[in-house]
Amino acid sequence: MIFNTERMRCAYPQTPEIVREHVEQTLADIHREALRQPPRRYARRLSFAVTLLLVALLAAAAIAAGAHFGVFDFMAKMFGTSGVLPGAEELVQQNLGRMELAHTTLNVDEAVYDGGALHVVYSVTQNDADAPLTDQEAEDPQSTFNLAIAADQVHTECDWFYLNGTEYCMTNCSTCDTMIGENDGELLCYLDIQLASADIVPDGDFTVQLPVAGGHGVYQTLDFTVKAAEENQQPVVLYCDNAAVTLKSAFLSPVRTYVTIHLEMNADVTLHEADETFCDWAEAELVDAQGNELAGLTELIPQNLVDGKSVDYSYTFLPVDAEEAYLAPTWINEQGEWAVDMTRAIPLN
Amino acid sequence: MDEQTFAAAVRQQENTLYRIAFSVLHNDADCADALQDALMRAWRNLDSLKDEQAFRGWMARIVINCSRDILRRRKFRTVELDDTVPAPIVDDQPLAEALASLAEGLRLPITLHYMEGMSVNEVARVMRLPQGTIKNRLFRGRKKLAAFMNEEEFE
Repeated sequence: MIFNTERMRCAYPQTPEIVREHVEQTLADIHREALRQPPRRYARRLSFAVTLLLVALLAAAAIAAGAHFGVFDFMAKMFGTSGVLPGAEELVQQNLGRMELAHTTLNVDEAVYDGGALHVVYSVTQNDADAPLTDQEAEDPQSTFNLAIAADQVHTECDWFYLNGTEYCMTNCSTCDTMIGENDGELLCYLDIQLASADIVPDGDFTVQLPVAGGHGVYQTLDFTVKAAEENQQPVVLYCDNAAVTLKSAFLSPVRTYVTIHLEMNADVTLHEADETFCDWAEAELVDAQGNELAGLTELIPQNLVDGKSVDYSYTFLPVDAEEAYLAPTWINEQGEWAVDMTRAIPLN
Repeated sequence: MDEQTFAAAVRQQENTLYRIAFSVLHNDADCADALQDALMRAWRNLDSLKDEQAFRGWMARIVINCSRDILRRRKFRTVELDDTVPAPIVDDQPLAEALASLAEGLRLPITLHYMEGMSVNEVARVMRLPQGTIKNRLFRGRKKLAAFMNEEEFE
């Protein structure tokens, strides 16, 4: 079956006249509203002024508290809210490592390890800068900031690293983001490294080396030590009607909820049946004992698909504060709605 | 974005917005209402659109929300089914029926990705779901469409 825009559009009707009329009527209403509402501009200016005031107040409060744009701020930037629970701030470690280069200085501003993921914010600061970066300077390859970065061969993203001396590549398991910092010539870089999804569960405190400078096989690493997280769920194997489901890890922290499962289909299951089961688990939800959703999914990483008969799914959900939490697959019922299947649910705590 | 730019952007996206509403509602009268609600909601919340380049995805999200609102309202109102209303005419009726057979959660990603040309990342942002989930739904939707079409062909 061929899927392309041209073919797919043949399955839908042309936009009917009734819709065009409604759109034009609504645009005419909006036009009239725009004409008779100069206060809207005032409201915008007012809202802009209020926003400016709020930003100034927040900035002042942040400076007063010695705060810096950190891990939870990056989460909030990506998802609208950090979603973390009380107690999450206890996992924040600050100013863990520093590297001074000829033109730039790198600093590990914050790291958060909660048993599931390692979140790091490191700053790259141009040594002789005398003003905060602008958007234009951050993007312009010829700006003094980017020339300084290029001269020192500094990287503002990173998908491999050393943990306790062992090299790990985290392609597909690492998210990077950047934003301009408040200090002169400062760019903040955020890494969200999904350790549990790659079966990396350090035993005790661990050292991390980020190869964020250099190239062509010669790298300088930004080194720091991270405190261990509390132990969590041990692997549990469950059997469903056509598959063995192994709960490889479950970390319920105040920052996020991480679950990794391994699905192994029975030998006599067809590929079609396997696909259906995989899809049910790819849409799994974090629920309570009654099947009510507890928290939304923020990340899904499928990996290690072998012969269409086995796969690992790593889920990241917003954190939950519940006595009982389950990972339950979903299926599409006769009404075409997604329904949670509690008969296959896995208890997480 | 001023009112004229907003109107121009809406007219440019009119067909896309209709198809998105139709993929949820399957009814032209409800689609018209959904687009009307969505345009007003979008105009009154225009300040929340930070990047004009993201207008299509932002507007798509609002149309989906308004369409779902109408769907919810529809569940609570008593409707006398009018059998005289003809089904909309389409060029590929079997594919239309196959699409209609999908759950909304599968049909919307298929519509946005294959019909409207949105990237997986863009669909994920519109539907507020992880990219991995969208990829899985596209896979599942494709398989179900193919299965439905094959069954029809063999019958």
